Amino acid sequence: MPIMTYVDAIRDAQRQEMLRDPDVFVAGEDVALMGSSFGQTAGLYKEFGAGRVLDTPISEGQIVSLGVGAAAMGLRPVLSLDFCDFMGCCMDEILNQAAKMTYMLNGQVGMPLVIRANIGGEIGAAAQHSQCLEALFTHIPGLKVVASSSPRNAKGLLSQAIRDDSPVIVLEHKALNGMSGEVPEGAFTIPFGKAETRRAGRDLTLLSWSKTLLKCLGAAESLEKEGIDAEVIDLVSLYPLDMDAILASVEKTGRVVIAHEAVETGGFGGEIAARLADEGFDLLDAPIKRVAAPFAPVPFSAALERLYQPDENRIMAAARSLF
Amino acid sequence: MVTKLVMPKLGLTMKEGMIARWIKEEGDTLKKGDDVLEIETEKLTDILESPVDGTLLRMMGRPGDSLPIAAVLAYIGEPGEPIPEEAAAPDSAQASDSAQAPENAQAPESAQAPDGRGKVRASPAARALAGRIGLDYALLSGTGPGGRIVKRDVEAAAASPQPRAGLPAPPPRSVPYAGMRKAIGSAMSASWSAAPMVTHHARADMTELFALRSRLNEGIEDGGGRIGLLDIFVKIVAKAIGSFPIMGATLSGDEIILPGNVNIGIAVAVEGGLVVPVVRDAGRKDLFAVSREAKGLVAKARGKALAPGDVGGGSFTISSIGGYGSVDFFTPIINQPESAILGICRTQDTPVARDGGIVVRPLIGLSLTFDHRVIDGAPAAEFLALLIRYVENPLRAVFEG
Repeated sequence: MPIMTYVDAIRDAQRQEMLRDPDVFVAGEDVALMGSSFGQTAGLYKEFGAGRVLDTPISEGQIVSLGVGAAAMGLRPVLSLDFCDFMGCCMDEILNQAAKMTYMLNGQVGMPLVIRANIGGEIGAAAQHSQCLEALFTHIPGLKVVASSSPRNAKGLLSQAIRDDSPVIVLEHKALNGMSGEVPEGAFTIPFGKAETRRAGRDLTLLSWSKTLLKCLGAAESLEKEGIDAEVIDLVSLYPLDMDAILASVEKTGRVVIAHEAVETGGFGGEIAARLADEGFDLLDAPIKRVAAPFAPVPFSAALERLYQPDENRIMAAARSLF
Repeated sequence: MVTKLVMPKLGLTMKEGMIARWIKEEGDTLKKGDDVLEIETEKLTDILESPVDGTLLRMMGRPGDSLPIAAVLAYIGEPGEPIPEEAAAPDSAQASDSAQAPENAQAPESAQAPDGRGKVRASPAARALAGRIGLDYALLSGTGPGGRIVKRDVEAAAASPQPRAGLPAPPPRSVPYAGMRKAIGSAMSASWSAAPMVTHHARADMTELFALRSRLNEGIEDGGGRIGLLDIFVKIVAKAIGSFPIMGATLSGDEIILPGNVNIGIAVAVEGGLVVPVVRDAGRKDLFAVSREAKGLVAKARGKALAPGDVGGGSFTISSIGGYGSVDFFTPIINQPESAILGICRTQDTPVARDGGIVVRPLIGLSLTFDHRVIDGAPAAEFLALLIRYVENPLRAVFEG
């Protein structure tokens, strides 16, 4: 299986789907000539031409409006919003148009729209370019929300999103762009609503997604040396959520730590905790713990940003406190 | 306020930790989050931070000392603040609250509040498992954080070869000695100490009485209208007291009061004790009236609906425990100020010598307790003989003058 970077896997997903389906097109700031700020569309313009790879003005509202209209007319737009932080500029298009149109028009139009956005910190991009805003979108009925943590699932999830007939928010972590890993060749999808068990364990379930998932894997390795055998589950898709996998794991372990990079208050971890307390109450052998960012904007200072981000030590401390 | 820095639990199996080195010294000023000391367990080393701003008042061990989980490692406070010589109350125990060693530094507590009250701390999973296997988790000691009973504690208790052997016995349970219980107790003990009691025991052949009952109940489908054995006994006893008024006497100071109307009490077991409603003037009422009245009183007694007029003023009490099928004879205690009580016991088919041969007859046990202050043995024996005669030939009770 070929080794690819996260960025290459994202580019490959778009290319494969564009080859498969002439209705698929890419639009966004600098996606064409420049190949995107992080390179996720590099080469696509050359291969598919200006009709399918569109550079847009610097206006997120216009990008998503374009996508909503095109999707309603049957095309499959893949929109690039470099930073998820900018989604404030196109929030009406997302929450009132993309998410609702199929329902408002009684199913007369589909909305096969993909919005790719970079999330997260660790690159010193400060408060307006480092946020993890998945909880804003998981709160909106009509949207699907997925987050990748490896080159493999970055390709699989994006390909699936392009084929999905609902609007999908695909969250890619900018600090993972250089990460390499095995990625299946050719067209390849990963179904939504299926969590990936990245490490099997008996004593504790670590639930996470995106980059923090990797910190959970690291924490699990260290915890093993302390005699705590942690299971690590990559939720991959937040909506639809694989509650069955979560409950099956907690039935085995009885203990849960939910880790994410978004701020803890109102974060998606709270939703999972609530559903666990409801549907898995009798499975729990300890309180549900969350490890997340403090309720503060992401700091610019590299030292403060390190402190701000949930790290392996904090995940381990939360895990230990359950035994 | 003095804050304690305690040995944290840093792993599943950790029981104690060793002080590796002190980073700060006594008297040093600490900021919250400052490294204070390094500890070492079998598996790892960790640096403990000060949970508060303050001064390191006391170091509670030297490098190399091993201390159990939650043992105090250091006291931090204002200079000159007194150091508690012994473990303070649990609410003053401050767990370390830094990013490095946060939630895991907790003083072990009993799963139950120290005063024995309050909720038992057990995880939902532990409760659910204990419920499934029928184990009282409140009896376990918890090994989870803060002494919480967790699933492994229930599993361990369930898996031990003799599941109950390792568990402490359930604590004694107390119920108040009050209300009806206390009233019965006082009455019984007063009767016991006041009256020199004698009990005569006898057997009577129930063949004829059963036959009479069958005949009386022929064609009566309604259970409430049927004559019961107890009804017949109430009637027979009232009749017999007519011939032996002393058996229905009550002792009051210097007077023995012989009954005018013969009022027969029936001891009825109810939840939490017993009550004795009284069938008034049973001697002069016919059997069907007695039966209706007795059934009504027993039902009211069981429904805890007796009126004040339904109890007291009895001449004599009947206590029937025959229905339990277990007791041949017993020694009932007199319901004071009455002077006698008849215990009715089980009826058993018994081989009996009759006319030189052996026949099987249903024999009932009768136990007559009397107050020897009022009644002597001879009249009691005569009274019992009359009762036997009535039982064995119940028509006599109807027609004998």
